[in-house]
This record gives sequence, structure tokens and C-alpha cells, in this order.
Amino acid sequence: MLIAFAAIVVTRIAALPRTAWEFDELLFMMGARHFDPVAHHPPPPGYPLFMFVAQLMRTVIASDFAALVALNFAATLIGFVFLALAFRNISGSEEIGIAGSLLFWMSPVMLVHSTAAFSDAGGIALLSIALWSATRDGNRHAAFFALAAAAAVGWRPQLAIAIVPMLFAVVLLRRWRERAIIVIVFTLGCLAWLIPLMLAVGGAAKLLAYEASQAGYLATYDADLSRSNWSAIAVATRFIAQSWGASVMSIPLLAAAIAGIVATVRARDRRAIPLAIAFCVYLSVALRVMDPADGTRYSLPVTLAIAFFAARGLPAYRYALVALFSLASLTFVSSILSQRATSASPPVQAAEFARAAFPAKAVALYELPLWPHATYFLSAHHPMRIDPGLTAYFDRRDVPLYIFADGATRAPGARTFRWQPSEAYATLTRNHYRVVSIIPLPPERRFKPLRGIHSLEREPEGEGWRWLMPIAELQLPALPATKVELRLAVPPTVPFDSNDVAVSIDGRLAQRVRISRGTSVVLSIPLARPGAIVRFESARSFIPAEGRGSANRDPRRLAVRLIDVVLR
Amino acid sequence: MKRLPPLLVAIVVAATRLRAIPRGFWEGEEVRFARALLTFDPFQQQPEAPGYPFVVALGKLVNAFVHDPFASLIALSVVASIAGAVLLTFAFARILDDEWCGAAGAALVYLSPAMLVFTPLPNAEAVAMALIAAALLTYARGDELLFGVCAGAAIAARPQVIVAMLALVLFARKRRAAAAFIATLVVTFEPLVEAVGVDRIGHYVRANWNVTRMPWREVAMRFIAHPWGPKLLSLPLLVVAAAGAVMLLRPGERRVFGVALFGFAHLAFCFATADRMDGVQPMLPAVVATALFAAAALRPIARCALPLALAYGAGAIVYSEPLIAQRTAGLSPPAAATAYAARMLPPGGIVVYEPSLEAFARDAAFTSAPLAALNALATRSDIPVLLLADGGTRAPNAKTFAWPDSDVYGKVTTEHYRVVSVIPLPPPARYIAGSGVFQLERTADGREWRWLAQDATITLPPLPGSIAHLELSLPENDNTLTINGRTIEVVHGKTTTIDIPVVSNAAATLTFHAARHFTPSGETRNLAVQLLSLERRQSQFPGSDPGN
Repeated sequence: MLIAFAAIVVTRIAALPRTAWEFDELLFMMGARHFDPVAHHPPPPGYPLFMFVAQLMRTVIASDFAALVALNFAATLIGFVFLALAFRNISGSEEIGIAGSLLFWMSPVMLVHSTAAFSDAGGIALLSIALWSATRDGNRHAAFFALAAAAAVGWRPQLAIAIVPMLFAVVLLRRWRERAIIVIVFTLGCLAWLIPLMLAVGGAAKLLAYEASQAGYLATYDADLSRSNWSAIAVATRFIAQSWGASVMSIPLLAAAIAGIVATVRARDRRAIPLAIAFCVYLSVALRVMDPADGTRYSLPVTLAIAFFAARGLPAYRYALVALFSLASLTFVSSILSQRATSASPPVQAAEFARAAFPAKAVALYELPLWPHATYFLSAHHPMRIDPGLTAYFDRRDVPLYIFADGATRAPGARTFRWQPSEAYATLTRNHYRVVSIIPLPPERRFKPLRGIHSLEREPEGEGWRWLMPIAELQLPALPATKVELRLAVPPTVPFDSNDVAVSIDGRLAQRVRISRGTSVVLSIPLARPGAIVRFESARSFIPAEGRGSANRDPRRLAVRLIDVVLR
Repeated sequence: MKRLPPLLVAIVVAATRLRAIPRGFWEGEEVRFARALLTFDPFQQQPEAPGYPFVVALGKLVNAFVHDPFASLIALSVVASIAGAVLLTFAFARILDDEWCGAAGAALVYLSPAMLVFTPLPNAEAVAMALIAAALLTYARGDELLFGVCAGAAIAARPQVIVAMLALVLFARKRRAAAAFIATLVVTFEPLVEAVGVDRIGHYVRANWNVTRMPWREVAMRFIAHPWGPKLLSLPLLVVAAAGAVMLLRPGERRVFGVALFGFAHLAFCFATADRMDGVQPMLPAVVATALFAAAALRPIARCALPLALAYGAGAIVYSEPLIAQRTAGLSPPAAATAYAARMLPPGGIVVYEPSLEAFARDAAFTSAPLAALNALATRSDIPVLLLADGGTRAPNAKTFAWPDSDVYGKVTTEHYRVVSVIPLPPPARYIAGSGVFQLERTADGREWRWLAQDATITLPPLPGSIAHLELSLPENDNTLTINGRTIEVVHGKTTTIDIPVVSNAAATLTFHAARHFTPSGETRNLAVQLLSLERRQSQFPGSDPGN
């Protein structure tokens, strides 16, 4: 146990990040400074207990980020010990307990996420305490179990999906007196964090509306739109296998887990029932409604159960095989850990550059994935979403604008900040923020979107674009320009061979062009006056979600891509 | 007492490796290994083919804690060198039934100039040699399972030993060893195969497979003698090894035959496939067989074996010192030149690199492009261009970074990277190479040229200047060359200059026709004359400009 504990300490020190990196981390950092759930500090569904403890931690450690990282570091160590104890009690074997806990905490997904400023490490630590106390008899342990379970939900409310079924299972397995204790303590424990959350949101009705809006978001995006182009097998692979790294690692481990499940069923081990039920319910919910992009981190309760069954399923050389897996796991995530420890994350690097390169009156126009980063690091640059910012400032030559972009760019004068890619980054993370750019938006490259122009999109290493609807309009700034250059493209993925686009300036047809699939054109159109309105009318369009046999769930109507607008 | 020989070897090897830790990257493959620790992308040559998956995996593991790819690979190499020396001592001691002879054999291997030069670097050599040593030890001990694992891991660390290791595994004729060998290969190569794709493995391996031709005698010298240093060191050692082979290779000595088979199989593989320009590096695994035989010859004087081997090692250290001292004192020429180019490149500029410097250029923060981009850049006078050249130059305003030449550099290493230059290419010196114009070539002393075929064309972009100033040469035999109708004699061994009138600010095409041409042995190119330089200039005589 001591050697395993030392391994956890050493690996977590190696995995300490230098700066914040992901979306939620920034929101948690803002929440640790000022708990304002309505402003998404922290993000829904609220994380009240996590934020409360984080604020306590902030009284000791001044930095928002360092306070959360320190909290998670401690939670990891506590979590490791209690998970080992829980697994030991469930299996009746100390070796399985330590091996199972080591497998979980040394899994690639935990190596990457447990030291970041997320809520996961603490939530899992509390879940582990709950699991451990669930395996012990007596009123005191029943109360402790219920308290830990309530705390875990208050820390990371998504864990309710695993904890509530586990609670039912534990209740059913206990005597009446313990059942009553569990229900009462759990209810009181939940109220202890729910009431502050309710007060922070502004009352019971507002809390309901707040949580309902999050549920609506879940139904619209996570359970639907985000699953575009994800087959059922891909979703299952994402939630079950990818937490365990490359296929050469995950396949043997999952095989061992299956062996462990068979062994547990054969042994008719009642102590494993709560864990198994929590695992089944959480996995079903994850497969049905969770965003696969969030995949590996959101499937942590599943990963935890798999770790237990895999440790149980290993026939021999248990410690040696777990040590081997841990080394492979470290190898797999090495690229992320190394870059994260030695350099600021690309969004932070980009924000630092922007703060130094642009005057205080500049306005930062952020892409949505960088909203928290812009809010936290670029508050002096009045951050705004791109389209509202363009609408407000497209004609203000006195206000420098720049785009804070989640991806690379070929725009002139732009600066791109990046971490090197790796399989671990692609499979364990949401695959955002590896490449971030600061793109200056000089007056001649600005416009005001009027209608039918979708938000800016980009690929990590490619150029950005905006999809236009069949009819789209934009307004040019009032600059003394004689012509406008428009670059339009039809990507190879559209369901038509070419598209005919008519471009009008101030209501008069200026140019008609046919763009073949997979090509782009640059139109150079003379301008009669400053501030002209450009209208695009495309002959063909499509809705990705309606493509025959398409797994794409994008409901937008798309015609042609607008790549660039430049006034000359 | 049994622990003393390996301990002594470990101390000596540790001291030599710690003394030889380089200050930075030297060869392109090292940069690619370091990049592979962050992004394992075989198709981007990270690492170079054939992949070295186990070294990359170990490097990544170390880097998870060290957080610096260069330092991680160096640490791995130093630790692997010490571990490998100890393992080889045990292996040889087992085979020769004598610890002192075993230690002598291991010392010979690890103190040879080839190993002194290549194993302290951020590359695959030290790890591969340690795994080979582990495979030989487990083979000698008859530990089937571990032998299979180590043999498979050695191939995953250095796939070029596949023939030799396969021969050893087959020779061992142990089922469990074969099963473990195959299982290890499957597990260690799975990430590589997954990254490359099963259908593209052949293409991937062939893409980086160059065999530069060289006379057989020279190849034999390079692969058999040069790993052991100059004649003074290598000749006595090879004579002793030959005597040891005669003493050792007797019927029934299966373990010895196994090591001999490993060495000869790898030697044959290198003769058939290794790039002669890589120096002795491809041959490293085979030196274990030679060292075993040399150590065997010392069995009658076993107590003197290790001192004798250390005496040889002292000679090898002195021989290797010029290169090792340079490497430890400062940045290598390619690293220094790349850093200089990064400082000197004007905003918006591009660094064009010669093929051997691709890894350095792509790893740098500046925009870079291969030599093929020169044609496109000829017409972009708005883009500043620097050429990163593997060799010397006499071009004006160029900066050359060089290590002094030494016997060890010439005999043991790759013949690249000793002299590297950063050469500004101003717009008047750029042109579009058409048919019959071969790639840039250069020597370390600064001679540079492009061979022209019997018929060749060059287009000058539209720039000011009414004269195309050419410098031409030939290494041997004179030739007669006609350029745009003007005929000149190009005398061998001398630089011939000619000014061809062109229209200022207009594109101009130069058409070359040579009276004679030749094809060098071992090549397919048809060569006529060397173009040393070409530059558009203003006429020295006002009014003579046909464009005015």
C-alpha cells in the first residue's frame, strides 16, 4: 500500500499543470473567487460543496488555480486510499483492493484530469469514501455512507446518476434502522448544500429553472447534436474503452474486467451489488445522453467499476501487471503531462500575448469554447462573442479588434500558440485548446452579419469559415475602399457537385459564380459607396441532419462557406 | 569477488557516458526522436523509419517525469548504457565461464569508439544495445520466457536487428521463447502499425531506406574495422578476436555459436541494406560478437583481461575525444546554425533547408520549406530567404558553423552536420531551375554547385539587371558549353565566368547545351558541367543594357 501510495504521489507531482487549460477549469476558478451559479461560475448544475471547499482553500492559497489544484492533489491521495479500502472490503482481498485502486488512479484519464482544476478528483474521492463505508456494517457507518454520498453529489452533482442507485442498493441490503439513518442523513446532507445553492441562484423557483435549463441543454446538445457522426459503437468505445488508453492497453484490461465480472457473478458476492448497480445505471445514462466529446472524463464512475472488475479478473501476477499497465499509462499520457507541466496552455499563452500586444481599448472577440478564458484572462479587453462584437464595432476604426480563436489560422498577422498533438490528447480530452490563435481584425476585414450567416467555425489545424444560408447578407464598414474581395468555398462534403452563387451589392446583381465541390473562388467586386450591403443567394443548400444515412445531427440549412472578406 | 568485474565496468562506462553528455541535438534523427516523445507520428518521420516503438515508449515514460524530451532521451541512454554494460558482462561471463573475461568483453564493446560516440546521444542505440545484452544474457542462461521478451523488445528498440535476432531465436529452438518473442513483437509494434496502417507499412519502411553505394572494400573496412577505431586499435583487436574465434568455435558450444550467428547475421544484413553514409552506427549490434571472441582469446590470461580491455578503452577514449569534447562544449553546427537562422530571418521570411537538415528546420520556430520550394520563391522577391545548408559555403554574407575535422568524425560518424551554413539568398541570386538542373551539392570546405545535364534550362524572374553572371566549373575533363547561342570552354579545375545579356525587369530563359556529358559509376544522372553560381547583375557599361 505504501509503495502504491508513493507511486500516486510521484505521478501526481509529475502531472501538475502549469496553468489552467479547459473550459470548466476557468469557470471553477471564477466560482472559487465568487460563487455565482447564474453567471456560470461554476457551470451548471452548480457544484456547491466543491465551490465552498474551494473558497476555503482560497483563504490559504491566493491563486484560484493553485487552490483548486492543491485541493485535487489532496483529494487524489485520499481517494486512492479509500478506493483501495473499498475494493478490499468488496472483494475480501487487499491485493485486489490496492491493484484496483491503482488501476483507476493510474488510468490515462485520471493521470490527465485528476490534477487539473476540475471537480472530478474530489467527487471520486467522496464516492470512494461512500463505497468504503457502504461495505461496513453498523449505524455509524450507515450514517457515514449517507453523508459521504450526499457530499459526493454536492461536490459533483453528475455523480448522483451513480450514487442514487447505489444508495437504493445499499438501503435494500441493510436493516430497517440503518435504512432510516441512511435516508435521513442523505436528505439532510443534500439539503446542506442544496439550500446555499438555492440561495445563490435566487430561490427555489429559480433553482428549478436553472437546473431545467441545464437539462434542456443536455437534451438538445449532449444527447442529440453532439452525437453527430458518432455511431453507437463509437460512443460505447468512447465511454468504456478510451479512458484506458491505446487499444493495446484497453483491450487486455477490458478482457480482465469481463473475467472479473464473471468471477464476481459466480461468487454471488452481495458486497459488489451497489457498485455493480451504480456502474450499470451510470453507463446506461452515459451511453444515452452524455456528450461523447466529454467522453472519458464524464465516464469516470464507469472507469472506476471497470478498474475493480479488472483487478479482480487478473488471474496472477496482479501487482506486476498493474505496475506494467501503470507504466504504459504514463507512457500514453506523457506528451500531455510534459507539455502541460512546462508551458502555459495555448489559451493562456494566447491571452498573455494579446494583453501585451493590444491596447486597453481593444476588444477581444472570442469563439465560444474560449468564453471562460476570455472572461478570466482578457477582462480588460471587454470580451464579446464574435458576432455581437462585430455588430457593435465593425465600423469603429478607432477600436482594435482581434479574434481569440480555438484553432489555427492562416490570417495575416495572426499568432498561433500550440501544444504538440498526441493520441492521448485526441482521445482523452475534448480536443479543444491544443491550438489557439490571436487573429487581428483590421477595419478592412470586418463586416456586420445581417442575416443567414452562421458563426465562425474552424478546425484545429485548418482555416476558419462561416456557413452561409441560401440567402445571406452582410454589411461592409464605411471605409474608402474601391472593391471588396470575397472568398467562397464549397467543401468536399456537400451533397451536390457545385453551387451557383449570386452576389449583389446594395440590391444590384454584381457577380454570379459557380463553385465546384471541393474548390474555392475569390470574387473581386467593385464598390460604389462605403458601407455597402452584400447579399449572397445560393441555388443549392442542404441540411446535414437530413442526409440519407447520415449520422450528422446538424439541423442548420447550409449553402456555401464564406472564408474571407477584405476591402481593398 | 563476482560482483567486482561488473561493478568496475559499470563505473567506467558511467564515467565515460557522463563525460560525453552532449549540449544539444547533433543528428537529425535525434531531433525526430525528441519530437516523437510529444507526437508519435511515423509518417512525419517522428521518429525516423523503421519506427523504434520501444525506445519512443521508454522515452515517453521518462519524459512523463522529466518534462524535457532531450533530457529524457539522454537520461535513458546513460542509464541504458550502464545497465547494458553490466548485463553484457554477465552474459559474456556466463558464456566464457569467467567473470573477468566477461567484463573485458563488455568493456571492449562499451569503450569502443563507435559506442563512445553513439550511445550517449538521444537516440535508440544505448537502449537497443542494453536489450541485446539482456537477450544474450537470458539466452546464455537458458531463461526461455525472458529471452523471448528481451529479443522481441530489442527488435522493437532497433528494428534493424530483426534478422540477427530472428536467427538467434530460431537457433535457440525453444518454443516458449518463440511464443514470448512473437507476443512481445505484437504488443510493442501495435502502436506503430496502428499509426501507420497495415497496408502502408511497406511504403513507410521503404520511404526512408537509402543505400548509398560505396566500394566493397571500403564498406568492409567501415563496418568491420572502423567501429573499433584507427588501425592501431582495431587491427590488434581484430587479430585477437580472430584467434578467440578459432579457440571458441568448437562443436557443442551452442551459446557461442548463437552469439556468432547473431553477429554475422547482422553484419550480412548491414552489408545488404545499411546506408554507408550512416558511418558505423548501423553496425553497433554486431560488435558484441567480435568483443566476445576477443575476450575469449584472453581466457588464458583471465586476470589481465579487464586491464587489457581498459587499456584498449583508454586508447579509444583518446581517439574519440576530439568529437566528444566538441559535443560537450557547445551546440552542434546544425543546432547553432538553426538558432542563428531563427535570429537573423527577417519577418515574413522563409528558411529553405537541405534534406539532411529537415528535422532541425521543422523543429524551429521559423517558417521553413524544402529545397524544392526555391523555384517558387524565385518569383517572390518580397520574401527574404535563408538557405540552411549541410556543408560549407563561400557565398557573401553567409555564416558557417563548423566543428574541426577529425579522424573519428570521418571514420565513425555520418559525414553530415560537421559544417553547416546559413546562406542568404537575395532575389538576384534566385532562379527557376528547369529541366537538366540537378539539386545543390556542397562540400565541407565550401565548394557548392549544381550539376547541369547536357541540355538544361534556367529561367530568371523579372528583376532589374541586364546581365546573368554565371560561374561554371568541372572537376575533370574540359567541356564546351553553349548558353543562349554563346559558346565557351569550361576548363576543368578552374572557375569559368560568363555574362549573358538579358532584358532588365523581364523574365529570361537561359538554355544550356554541352558538347559532352558523362554518367558517374553507380549513378543514372547524365552530367555535363557544374554551375557554381548564377546571379542577375546590372551591366557595368551604361547604355549597354538591352532593356534600356
